[in-house]
Amino acid sequence: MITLNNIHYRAGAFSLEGINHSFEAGRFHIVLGPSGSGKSILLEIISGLLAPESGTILLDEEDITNHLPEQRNIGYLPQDNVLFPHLDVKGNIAYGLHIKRQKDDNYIKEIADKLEITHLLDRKIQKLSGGEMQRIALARSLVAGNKILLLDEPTSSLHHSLKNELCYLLGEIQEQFKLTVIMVTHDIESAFMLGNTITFLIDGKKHQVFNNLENNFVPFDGEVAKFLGIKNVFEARVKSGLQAPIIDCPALGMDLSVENNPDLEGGRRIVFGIKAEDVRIIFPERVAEYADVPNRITGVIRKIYRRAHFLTILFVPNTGKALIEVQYPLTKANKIKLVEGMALEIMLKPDRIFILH
Amino acid sequence: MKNNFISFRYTISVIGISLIYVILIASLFWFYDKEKFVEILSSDRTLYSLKLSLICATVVALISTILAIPASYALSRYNFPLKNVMDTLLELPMIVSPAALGAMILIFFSTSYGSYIQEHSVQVVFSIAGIIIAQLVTILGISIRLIKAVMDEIPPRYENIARTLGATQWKAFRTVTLPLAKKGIIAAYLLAWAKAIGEFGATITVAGSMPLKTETLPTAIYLRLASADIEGSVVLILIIVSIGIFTLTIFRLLGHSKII
Repeated sequence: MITLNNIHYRAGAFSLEGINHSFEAGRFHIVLGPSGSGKSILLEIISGLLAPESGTILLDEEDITNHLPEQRNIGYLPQDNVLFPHLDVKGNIAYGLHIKRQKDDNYIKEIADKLEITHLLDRKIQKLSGGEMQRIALARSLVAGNKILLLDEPTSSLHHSLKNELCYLLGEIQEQFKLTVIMVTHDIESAFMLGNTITFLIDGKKHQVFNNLENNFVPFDGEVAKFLGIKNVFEARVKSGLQAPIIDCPALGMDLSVENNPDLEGGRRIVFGIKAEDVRIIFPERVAEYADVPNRITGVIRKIYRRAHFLTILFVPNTGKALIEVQYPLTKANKIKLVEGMALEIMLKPDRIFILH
Repeated sequence: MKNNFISFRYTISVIGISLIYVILIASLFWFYDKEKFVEILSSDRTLYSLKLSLICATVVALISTILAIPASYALSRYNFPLKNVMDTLLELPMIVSPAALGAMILIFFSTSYGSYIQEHSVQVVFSIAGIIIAQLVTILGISIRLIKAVMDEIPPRYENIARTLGATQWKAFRTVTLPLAKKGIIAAYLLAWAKAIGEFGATITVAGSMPLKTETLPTAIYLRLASADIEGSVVLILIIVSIGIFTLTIFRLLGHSKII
C-alpha cells in the first residue's frame, strides 16, 4: 500500500495542494484529470524523482519520503517510454538485472513471451512501433522486479484499436503479476476501462475518488462534471426538501423531482446535473404511458450530431432557454426518425439527477 | 525558378568563401620544393617539433576531456550558486587572446605561490610542462562548451528511468549518459586535440621556442618565417594543415552519425 500524507509541491504558478490518498496494494488505480493538473508531478514524487515540499510517502508503513528512486523499487513508465537508444531490445529489458550484476536469460524470455515480444529481442529500438516500445518498457520494469508500476499517460499517443489492445494487456499484466498500478491519464475511456479506483485530480487538488466496482458514476462537484464533459448542469432552488425534494430550475422553466438526494432542505440554492445518457426520449406513441411520470419536458431538437456509436441531440425546452444534451444510441435510431426542428418530449430520470457540491 | 536563383546565390557565397582558403592552401605550393620537403620533414628538428606537438596535444586533449566531462555535466544538469559567473569564466579562454592567457600563466608563476609550485613540484616556465599548461588553459573552455552541448542533447529522463530500475546516480551516468555521449565526447576530444596542435600564442609565451626542447610545430613555423625560410615554413604548414583536415574529416563523420 502506498500512502500519501499531505503532499505539497510547487512549480511556478502550479501547486499540488495537500494530497492525502492511499493506493491499496495489488489493484489498478487511476488518477484522472485534465492536462496540467499535476498528475505527472504526483507520479514523479511517488517514484522519488521529485521531492515534495512537505508531506510524507509511506510504502507499507515505511516512510520512503527521503529514499532515492533506486531504493524504492517502484517502476516508472513515462509517456514516451524512454527506452535507452544505445541498447537493443534485450539490453533494455535486461537493464535492471545488468545493474545488479545479474543475468537471467530464462526470466527475460519468460517475460518477453508473456508480452509477446520474443521476436523483437535482437532488434534495435529505433525500428520499433509505439505499441512495441510500450511492451518493451513494461517488460523492462517487470524484469527489474518492480511490484509497483507508475504509468504516465500510456494511451495518450495511441489510436483507438491500439489503445484498447494496450488496456487489455495492462489489465492482464496487473492481474497476472499482482502488481500495484497507478496510472495517470486524461483519457476517460481507458480510466473507466482499467481502474479499480479512479481518483480525480484537477488543478493540483484531489476532487473525488470513485470505486469502479460501483455501477453508476456520479460526479461529486462541478469541476469533475466539467472535466467529464457533462453539459447538463443547471442552477436550481429547493422548493420542498427532505424525503421527496422538488427543485425549481429557472433555466429549464419548470419544477423537477429529485430522488436519492434526501438531505435537501427547502429554500437551499443548488447546482444539479444529469448525464446525457440518462435523459430519456419519450416516443410519441408512448406519451400516454408516461403521463404520470415526473420531469417530462416538451421542446424542440435544435441540432443533431452523429457520433460513432450514438447521436448527440441538443434539445431546447419550450419553457426555458437552456440547452439539454441528450445521448441516443445509434442502434435505436431506426425506431424514430429524429430531425432538427422536430418537437419532442424527453424525461430527466429523477434517480439520475445528481447534486453538485 | 525564383527559389533556384536564390539558392544559387547562397551557394555561390559558400563557394566564394571556400575559395579563399583553397587559394591560401594552393599558394603554399608556389614555394613547394620536393627535395627540401623531404629534407626538412626528415630533419631531427622537424621530427622533434612534430613529436612534441602530437604528444602534448594528445595529453592536453585527454586531460581537458577528462576535466570537462564532470564540469559539463554539472553545467548541463544542475543549478548552483554563481553558475552564470563560472560559465562566463569558462568562456574567457575563447575570447581572450592566447598571448594574454600565456602572459597570465607566466605572471602567476612569477608570484611567490607560482615560484613555490615550480620549486617544489615541476618547472613550468620554458619547459614541456609549460606547453601542456598553456595549451590546457587555452582549450579547456572549448572542451567544456563542446561536451556541454552533447550533455544538453541527452534528456535527463534517461537517467531518471535508469534510477527507477535500480541504478544509482553514478551507475545511471556511467551506463546510460556516458555511452550516449560517447561519440560527442570523442568528437570534442578530436577538436580539442586539433586546437592544441595549432596553439601558438600561449605556448610561446610560457614555454618559449627552444629548438629540440620546447619548439612545437606552430612555433617552428613562426621561427622559420622570422628567419625568411619560406620553403621550410611551407613544409611545416602543410603538415599542420593536413593534420587539421584529417581531424575535421573524422569530426564531421562522427557528427553525422546521430548521437541519440
